[in-house]
Amino acid sequence: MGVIRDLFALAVLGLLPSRPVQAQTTVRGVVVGSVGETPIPGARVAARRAGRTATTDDLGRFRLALGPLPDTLVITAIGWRPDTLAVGDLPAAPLRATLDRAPTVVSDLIVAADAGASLDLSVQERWVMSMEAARSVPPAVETDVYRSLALIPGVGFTSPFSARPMLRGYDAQEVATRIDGFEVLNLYHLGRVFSSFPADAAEQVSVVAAPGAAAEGGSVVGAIEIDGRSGWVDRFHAGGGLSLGSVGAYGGGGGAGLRYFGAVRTLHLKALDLLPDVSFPYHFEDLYGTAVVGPVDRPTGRVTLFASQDRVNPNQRKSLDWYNLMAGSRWRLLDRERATFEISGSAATFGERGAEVPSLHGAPTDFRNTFTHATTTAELDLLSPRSRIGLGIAVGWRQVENRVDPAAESGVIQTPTANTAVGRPEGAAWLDATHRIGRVALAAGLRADLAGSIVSLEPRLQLQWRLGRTTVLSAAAGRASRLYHLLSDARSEPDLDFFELWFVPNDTVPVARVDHATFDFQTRLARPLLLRVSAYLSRGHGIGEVRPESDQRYYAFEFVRFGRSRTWGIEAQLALRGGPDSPHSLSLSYAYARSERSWGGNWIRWAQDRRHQLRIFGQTRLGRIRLFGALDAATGMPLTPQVASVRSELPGDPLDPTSISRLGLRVYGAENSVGTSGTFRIDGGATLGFGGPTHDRFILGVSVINLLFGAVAPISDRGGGTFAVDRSGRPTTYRRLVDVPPIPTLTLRATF
Amino acid sequence: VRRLISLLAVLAPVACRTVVDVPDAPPPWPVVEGLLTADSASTVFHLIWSSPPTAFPTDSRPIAADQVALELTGPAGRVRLTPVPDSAGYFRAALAIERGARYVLAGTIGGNPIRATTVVPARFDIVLPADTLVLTEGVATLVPFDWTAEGASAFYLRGARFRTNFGANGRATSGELLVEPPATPGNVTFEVSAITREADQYLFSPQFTPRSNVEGGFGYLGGAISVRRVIRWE
Repeated sequence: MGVIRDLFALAVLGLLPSRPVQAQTTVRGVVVGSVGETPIPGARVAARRAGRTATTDDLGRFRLALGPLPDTLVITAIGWRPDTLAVGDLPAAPLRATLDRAPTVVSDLIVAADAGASLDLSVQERWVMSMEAARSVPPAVETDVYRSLALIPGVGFTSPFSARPMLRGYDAQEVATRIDGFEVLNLYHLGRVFSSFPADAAEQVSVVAAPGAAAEGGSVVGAIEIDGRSGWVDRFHAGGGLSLGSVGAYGGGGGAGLRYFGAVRTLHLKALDLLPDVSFPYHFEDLYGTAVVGPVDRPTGRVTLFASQDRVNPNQRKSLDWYNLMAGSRWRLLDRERATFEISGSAATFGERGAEVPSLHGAPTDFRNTFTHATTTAELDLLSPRSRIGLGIAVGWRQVENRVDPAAESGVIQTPTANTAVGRPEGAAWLDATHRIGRVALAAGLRADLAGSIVSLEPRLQLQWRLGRTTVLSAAAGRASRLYHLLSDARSEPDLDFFELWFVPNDTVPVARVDHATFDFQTRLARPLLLRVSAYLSRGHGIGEVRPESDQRYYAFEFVRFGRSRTWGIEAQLALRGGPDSPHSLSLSYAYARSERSWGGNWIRWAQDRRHQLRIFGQTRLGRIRLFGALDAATGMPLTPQVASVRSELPGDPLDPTSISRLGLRVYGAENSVGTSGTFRIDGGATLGFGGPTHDRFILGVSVINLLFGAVAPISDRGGGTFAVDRSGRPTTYRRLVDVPPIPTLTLRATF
Repeated sequence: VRRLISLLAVLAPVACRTVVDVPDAPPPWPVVEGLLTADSASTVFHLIWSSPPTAFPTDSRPIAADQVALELTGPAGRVRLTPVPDSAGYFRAALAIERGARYVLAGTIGGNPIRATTVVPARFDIVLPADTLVLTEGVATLVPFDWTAEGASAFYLRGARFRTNFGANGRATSGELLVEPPATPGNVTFEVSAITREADQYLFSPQFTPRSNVEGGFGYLGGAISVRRVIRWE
C-alpha cells in the first residue's frame, strides 16, 4: 500500500511547486564540458550521502532526489574527468557541474561507475560509446558510427566492411536508429559499408537492448541512438577530417541563449570500382545541424536537422538514388525539480529510386520507395525521493510506398515484386512507474502501440539491485513490438543487392512481437579491473526475412517469410584501465550467442548465428604517439549444404533434341545445418597529434585492418574467396565470400 | 606479452583455415520428371540419378531400364513405363491424358518406392491471340494475349516471350508477348502451355532450389494443357 500511496501522492505533488524540505529534497542541474560548455549526455550524477544516482539527458540535464543536506555529487562520464559538486543548502538555481576532457579509453565502455540507487532505469541494458573512444579504434577507411559499435559485445557484423549492426541474434533491419531521439530509416551509404551520419557530428552513440523502459518503442530488439554534438558558448570552433573515403568539416558556436552546430561530409568519385568489371560515378553528401535553445544551465529546447543523399551513376539508364531527410524538435515546457513536461515533433522521409539495380541474387529491378512518418510526442515525468512516474503519448502518420518491378531488360524469370501504398495513423501511449525500496528499484510499465486497427500491448518490468558501492545487478522483462516490417537481404554480401520490401501487418502479414528477459551485472573487481556480465533470452513471433534460395518448403515466388525466433546468450566484458589520466587500457569481451528461427517447422540456426565471439581492444601511449590494437575472432555462421545437383529438362520431345532446354538445378539439404570455420583478424593503428600550443590541432592517423591477412568473411556457396575444404582436407564447392588483404587507412583530423 | 603472442600465433592459422563440416554425400536419388499434357495419347518421362553437388551441374546418369518398375494410373487405366528405344533415361507411358483428371505415378526405381500425383488442368481458354497471327516479316512484334486456365498456375511459351520479364514462363493472364521473326521466312508454330503448380515450382525456380513432389525420390509429376497458334510472317 505504501508504494501505491507514494505513487499516487507523486502524481499530485509532482505538479506543485517544489518546497524546501530538509529531509527529502530534489535538485536539478546540468553537466557541461569545461571548453565551450557543451552538454554532456549520459553522465552519471551520484549523491554520495544519499546513495542515489541520476543520468543526464541528451542536453546534459539531470534531476536527483537527495536526502538530508549537505551532500556531495560525484559526476562521471565516459571521456571526461570525474568531478564532485558540494550541495550545502537547497540551491535556488540549477546546479552546474563542469567536467574536463580526459583520455578516452575503450575500457570505459564498461559502465561501472559508482553504483548508486537510481530511479532512472532507462540506463539498463545500455552501452554508451563516446565517439572519442570510437576514433581510437583502427577504422576501415574511416570512423563510422555504426561500425564502431563492434566495441559492444552484443553487436555483430558480417565483415569489417559491413555497417549493418546486428544485435543479440536479430538482424540490423530489426534495430531502430534515432538521431537526437528522432527516428530515421536506412542510415546507409552505398553497399551499407558506411552509415550516412558523419562521425564528426556525433558526440556519442548508444545501444539500448530491448525491452527497456516503456518509453522505448519502434523496435523488437533495441535501438541505436546517435547524440549529436553541440556548439560552444561564446566561441566558434571548427574542424574537419580527411580520409581515403571522404572529406568532412564541422563548426559550432553561439551564446548563452542559443548554441548551434553543423557538420557536412561528402565524397565524389568519377569512377567507383565496387564490383569486378563494374565502374560508375558515385557521390554522396551528408548534413547534420542542431541548435540548442535556452541558458546553458537549463536548456529548454533543441532543433535537429539531418539530410543525406546518394547518387550512383546519375543521369544514366542504370542508376540508383536515395536520400534521407529528418527534422525534429524537442521542447521542455515545464521544468521543475519534481516535474518536467516535454513535447517533441519530428518528420522524416527516406526515399530511393533505382533503375536496373541488382536485386535478390543479382537480378536487376526497378524500384521506387518512400517511407515517411511524422510524429508528435508529449511526455510528463514526475520525480519524488523514492518514486518516479513517466507518462507519454505519441500520435503520428506513416506513409509507406514500396514499388518493385523486374527491370524490363532483365531477361530473368524471378525477381521480387512489390506494390504497396499504405498511409495510416499511428499512436503510442506509455506509463512507467518506478519505486525504490532500500537498495532495490523496481519499475513497472505498460506501452501500447497503435497503427490503424492494430493494437499491441507491451508490459515491461525492470529491477535494479544495488549490491554494494560498486556493484549493481539489474534485470528486465517485457515485450517489444513493431507494427511494420522492413525487409532487405541480410545476406547481400558480396553481391551488393539493393532492394527493400516493406510490409504493414494484415491478415497474412503478422505483427512482430518479441518477449525479452535480460540480466546485467556490473562490478569493480579491483581498482583497475571492471567486469560486466549480461545475459538475455527472447522469444519472438512474426519475425520476417527474405527467403533464401535454399528454402524448398515453400512456393518459390514467395520471396519473404515470417516465423518465430528464439535467442539467448551471455556477454562478458573485462576491462583494465589506469587512473583518469592514464592512456593505457585493455578491454576483453566474450559473447556466447544462440539465435534460432522456425519458419513453420523445426527450429534451425539463424543464418547470421555466431556462437562464440572474442574481442580484445588495447591502447597505450608512447610520447605523442598513441598506439591501438584490436583482435576479433568469431566462430562461423551456418551454411545450408548442397546435397545434390540435377540436370533437369524442360518439357520437349526427346527425339527432337533442339526442343529440349536443360537446366542445372541445385538441391539443398537442411537449412543452416552445416558449421563453418570462423573469422579472425587483428587490426593495429597509431595516431600522432601536433600543431597546437595548448592542445593538438592536427591528428594524423595510420591504421591497418587485418594485419595478418586473416579470414574475415563468412563461407558461402557464392563469392570469390578461398575455397573451403572439409575436415579431412578434401576440396568442397564452398568458399569465402572474399579474401581481404591488409588494408591501410590514413586519416587527418584538424580542430580549431 | 610473450604469452599473448604465442596465443595469437596458435589462433591465427587455426582461424584462417576455411573449413566446412560437409555432411556425408547421400547416395544418388532417382529423379523423375514428367509432364502430362492433356489430350495426348502418351507421356515421355525423364529418369536420371541425381549427381554430387556441383556449382554448375553438367552431367546426369540415366536410370537403366531394368531398374525401373513404374506405372501411371488414370481414368483410362494403368500402364507400365517402357523405355524409349535408343534414348537412355527416357520412358514412355502410353496412357491417354484427360483434362481435369487425377494421375498417380507409383512403383519402384532400384527397389525404392516412388510415388507422385497430379491433377491435369481442366481448362485453358485463349481469347487472344487468334488462331493465326499475321506479322510483318523481319520485325519483332508485340502481340496482345488474353487467356484463362483452371487448375494451372503458370504458362510456358515456345515461339514467343513474355514482355514483362522477357522469359518463356510467367503468371500473367493478359498483356503482351514479344514475337521475334524466325531466321528463315515462313510459318512458325507458337505454343503456350498452362502448367500445374507442381511443374511450375520445379521447373521455373532457377534462383531457388526446385520443389519436388515425388515421394521417395526427386523431381516432379505435373500436368499441362498446350494450345498452338500459327504465326505467318509476311
